[in-house]
Amino acid sequence: MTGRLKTDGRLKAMLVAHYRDAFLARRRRRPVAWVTSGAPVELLHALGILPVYPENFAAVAASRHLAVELCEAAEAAGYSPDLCSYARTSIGSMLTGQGPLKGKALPEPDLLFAASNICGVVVKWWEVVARHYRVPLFILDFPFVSERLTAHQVDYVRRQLEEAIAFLQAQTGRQLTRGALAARLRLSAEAVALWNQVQLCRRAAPCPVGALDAFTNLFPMVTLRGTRACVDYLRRLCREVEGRVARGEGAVQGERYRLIWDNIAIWHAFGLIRYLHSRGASFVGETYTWAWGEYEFGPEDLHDPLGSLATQYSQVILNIDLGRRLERLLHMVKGQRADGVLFHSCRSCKTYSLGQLPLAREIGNRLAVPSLLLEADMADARAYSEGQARTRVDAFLEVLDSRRNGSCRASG
Amino acid sequence: MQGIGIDVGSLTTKAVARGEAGVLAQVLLPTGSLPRRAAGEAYRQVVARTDGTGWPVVVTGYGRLDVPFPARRVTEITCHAAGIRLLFPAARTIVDVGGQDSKVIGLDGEGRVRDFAMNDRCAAGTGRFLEVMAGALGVEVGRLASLANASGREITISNLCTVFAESEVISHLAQGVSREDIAAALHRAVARRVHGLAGRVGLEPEVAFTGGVALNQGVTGEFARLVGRPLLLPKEPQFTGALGAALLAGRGPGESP
Repeated sequence: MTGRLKTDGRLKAMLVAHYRDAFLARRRRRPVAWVTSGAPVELLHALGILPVYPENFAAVAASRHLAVELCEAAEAAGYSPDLCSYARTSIGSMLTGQGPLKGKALPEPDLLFAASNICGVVVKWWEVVARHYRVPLFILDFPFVSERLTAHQVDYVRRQLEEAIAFLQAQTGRQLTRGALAARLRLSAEAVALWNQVQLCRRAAPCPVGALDAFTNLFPMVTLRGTRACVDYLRRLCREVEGRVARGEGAVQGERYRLIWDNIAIWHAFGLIRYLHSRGASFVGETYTWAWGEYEFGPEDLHDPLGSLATQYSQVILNIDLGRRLERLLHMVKGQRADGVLFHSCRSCKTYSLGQLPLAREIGNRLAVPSLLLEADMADARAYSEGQARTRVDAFLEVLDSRRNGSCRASG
Repeated sequence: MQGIGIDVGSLTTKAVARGEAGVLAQVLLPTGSLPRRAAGEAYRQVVARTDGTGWPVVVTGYGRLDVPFPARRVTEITCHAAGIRLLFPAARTIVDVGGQDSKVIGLDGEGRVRDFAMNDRCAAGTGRFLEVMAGALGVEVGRLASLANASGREITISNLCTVFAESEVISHLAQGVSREDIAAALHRAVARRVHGLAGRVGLEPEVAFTGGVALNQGVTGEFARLVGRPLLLPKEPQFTGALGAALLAGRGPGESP
């Protein structure tokens, strides 16, 4: 096996540096904002605000097996176990001051920014944070996009973006310039292009990047998008991955099955992915990592940056209807030459999980590609059973085998 | 070709030895707390009855990962598909309700697994659910169906959680509801639960019902009513997985069921 990417060390250093910056921000008089993963972060960067992501923080906590404890703390404070586990992890950490960052919670925010394009939970979650820290909150409301994005939807979001700029300027005492915003959009566009280049490399057989690397490499795309550091890192990543393709190196030894992952990673159960890799199953794409490659900021968008932000952030994967999600998935399965889809039905993320059954059925009907539905949770390990998951995975690989044997027989 | 199949389930371990002429021997033992030992004992007994030393073995069931003899591991899904294919070639859907899980398997025209679904993180709709309820009613689990036969009034057990459903049973008893009516309600609850799971895969006819719970006519009767057609029922449904495993053992790896 080729193993993990060499850029992994640099990635970890970036993660550490990002959170160190967040802790030092106050001393450096740099405002810190807690933001949702679908926030138009280019605006904040353009104003010199440091965005930190409670969702990423919760994922880090889960990957270090600290999330359950933090969830329990939130539950003890009265939050329902049915609430999103990212929210519970974050709230539990906020209440106890404990967390995965050398034992600490996230640094306190100066302001809060939530965008409803990923789910409705973030609105209430950010309100809880706002009450706890007594800091100002801006909520950017995105109407759900059924079929096509309409002009009045774009206009509605654009007007809110104007309000957001006024809010951010008032809170920070800084002025947004057109040039600064354009520069951030250009950096985002560069990052997106590089990220997509990496994803397209995964069409190669054997696939050069496994799911573990894809999930962890999402960090700069999510939290550093719109910065030079993100672009520089992705350029390295791209070079390494292209090198692997050129040398015919795969992430998985003896690639036998090419799978697509749907939904958020199960951050506390990377053992399952390792197990799949050990069985010769490689992941050639994830709808989750793909989502960050779907922002398109072209040069023409620089003339109307707010309209462009409104358009792009309205159409993120969790804010579009099932028909369009199906189109994207079909495109991915065909393009990446996948022979199976693993749907993680995530107990916390209803927005992402609802509709997976019809998606699986359509993928089966149209492409004759089978799917596995695996019930788990991205952060709460109590909603997951390794033994049960492995039985399902084993059975799924047997299904793929028997289809292969069947088709060999038919053609031979 | 000759082969031995062993299904190490949560409640019982089953072994089947199969030769050219069909099933030569079969064994059923309680799994107890030592699945590895139960698997070894089932293997020893079935080999002793058939002189099957050295025959290829396929092991399945939740205890398949740790057995004290060389064997190929295949999941219950594939083994049940192979077993049912042998018994009922016309089956397109298999419902298997065992001790602690229930699953629904969709087959294509050649008997290959097309899709499957299993219950998750919950014992409602399994043999264990019925065992717990039989305990609450103070009857043997094997008598639950005949008890339900004498039910005269339809009541509902609404809880899906096994523990809460048990409380519901106890409170029904306390209110003087007859054990017969409660037993019938429990069978409907299990059948509905499994029927819901089957919806994920689709219920294409013919429908075979297997696993230990297939012995309970209360559940199979309710399920047949929900499906709207008679079910294919093996004579010894607990052995379907082990039978399929024996068949696959005889075929060797790489050959699809």
